[in-house]
Amino acid sequence: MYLTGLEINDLIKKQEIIIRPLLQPEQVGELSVDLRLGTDFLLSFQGRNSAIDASNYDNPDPSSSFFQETRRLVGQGFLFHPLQTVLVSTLEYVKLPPNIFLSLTMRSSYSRLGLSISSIVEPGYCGCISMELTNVNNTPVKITVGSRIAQARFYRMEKETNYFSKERKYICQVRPEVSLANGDEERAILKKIRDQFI
Amino acid sequence: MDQRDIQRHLAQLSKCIKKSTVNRYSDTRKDGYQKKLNELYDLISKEDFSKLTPPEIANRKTIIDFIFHNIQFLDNSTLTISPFEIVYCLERVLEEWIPNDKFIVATSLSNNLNDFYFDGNLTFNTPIYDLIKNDYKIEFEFKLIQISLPRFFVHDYLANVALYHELGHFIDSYFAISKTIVNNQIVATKIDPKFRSIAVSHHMEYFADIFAAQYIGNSLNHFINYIAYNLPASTSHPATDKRLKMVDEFLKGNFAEPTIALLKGETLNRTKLDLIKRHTDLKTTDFENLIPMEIANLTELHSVFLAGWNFWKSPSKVIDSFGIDKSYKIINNLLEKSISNFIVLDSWEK
Repeated sequence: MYLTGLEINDLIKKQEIIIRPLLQPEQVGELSVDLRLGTDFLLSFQGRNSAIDASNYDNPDPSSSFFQETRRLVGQGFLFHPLQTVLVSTLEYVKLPPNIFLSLTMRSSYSRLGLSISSIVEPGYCGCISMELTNVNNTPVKITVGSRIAQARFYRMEKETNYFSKERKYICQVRPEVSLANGDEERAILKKIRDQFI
Repeated sequence: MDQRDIQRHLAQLSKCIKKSTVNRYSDTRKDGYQKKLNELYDLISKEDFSKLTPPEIANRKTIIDFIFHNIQFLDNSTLTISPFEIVYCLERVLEEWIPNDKFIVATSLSNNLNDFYFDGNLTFNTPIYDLIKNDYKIEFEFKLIQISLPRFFVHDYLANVALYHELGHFIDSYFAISKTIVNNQIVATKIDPKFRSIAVSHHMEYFADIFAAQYIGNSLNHFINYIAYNLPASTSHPATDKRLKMVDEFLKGNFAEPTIALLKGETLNRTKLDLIKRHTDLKTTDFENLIPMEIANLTELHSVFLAGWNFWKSPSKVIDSFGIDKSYKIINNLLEKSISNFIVLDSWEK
């Protein structure tokens, strides 16, 4: 079931949905909650390695050498260069109850500038929400940190789930983190299969 | 030391200062400070060193060293590198004790483990500021309070409680509290003058510990009892157990303890502020629920470090289930977000 603004506000009041900080009550709209661009960024750049090798079984962290950390204060600008992948978190720390998930999309005003995102956040998640943003425009775009760039729509499920029923790689994160793709459990099986044919 | 030596030194500085010119700080006062350094460098680099006397060349060396020393701290005080959240907390404490807005907290990251220290070389070096003003007509409106911390601990909010202690050293030096106490004790023949230096050092450590405890309770004791476990007294520090006990007595309100009484009396006398409890016991329910705290005021802001330590020290089924590495990271993340949310809300409401 799709939650209305009234229902979302009610759940925020009951502290079943946590959104901190909620700088303006108007962030909660009729059908969604606007979320803001956070202060910490990981920028992709050309590293010394030839490629991000997420297929290398021996390297648990293939991508961190391809990203550089930088920070801005709320109110300062951040420049999105064309086709540069930027990892950023929402300014808001979010915690969801076990029966509600959210889908995150770009606000229309920012989609029109060439930025896009589409992401699902599972029930029970807690932390700032990671956004992987790429400017697909051919012009650099400067955005103010703290701007309402994304909108979250909330969905209630009939049954509850347990977010921590399996090991989670990203818990309570407050700034963006590089991909931990090589930490996926099925990697051991895939390696075993590969080794059979070597 | 001759003209070629000073030219070499200036060439070394040239490379560093050009790099630091593009630094981005969280504080416009640091931008202003950087501009003054640039101006000073420009004036020195235009000088004809062949016309300088040996004492004047020696002065140039002192000034170039001064610029280098500043850059060491400014380069590590950029928005990306510095521990912004904890520096914000320290600056709120500073405003309380010295409200004239003439000092800037600057951090340097050390490669040495447990290398927390306050360096007063820039803050209290009046002759160098006079020399610069006299020779180049440049006046520094602000002075840097140089605090160093290990680079491994930039985002470690439990370890960084030590920075409250380091700020305490600055406050003590600024108001000459420990020095005055020891000088008075010597006049009253309670301390032998030959032990003056040791006595001052020990009083300074006690002061800094108690100063920190005002804001963060016994958090620092947890940390000191690990990094300086069971250390005997040295010329620079009292024995660890005595330091821990002094903080405990202060927190229990035992102000009759002789050293505490002396420190409280002289602090009140020189600062017009008393050494008192300036923290509160926050519930850690939010941390237990894996959410950042909503901090209501500055007292709660400083108290969040104590809450973090209490939470870490108490076994928690929720957080321990993630394993040590993740649970420690979670606590630090929750502390950082609690503080940064306070900062954002505070600036939003202003």
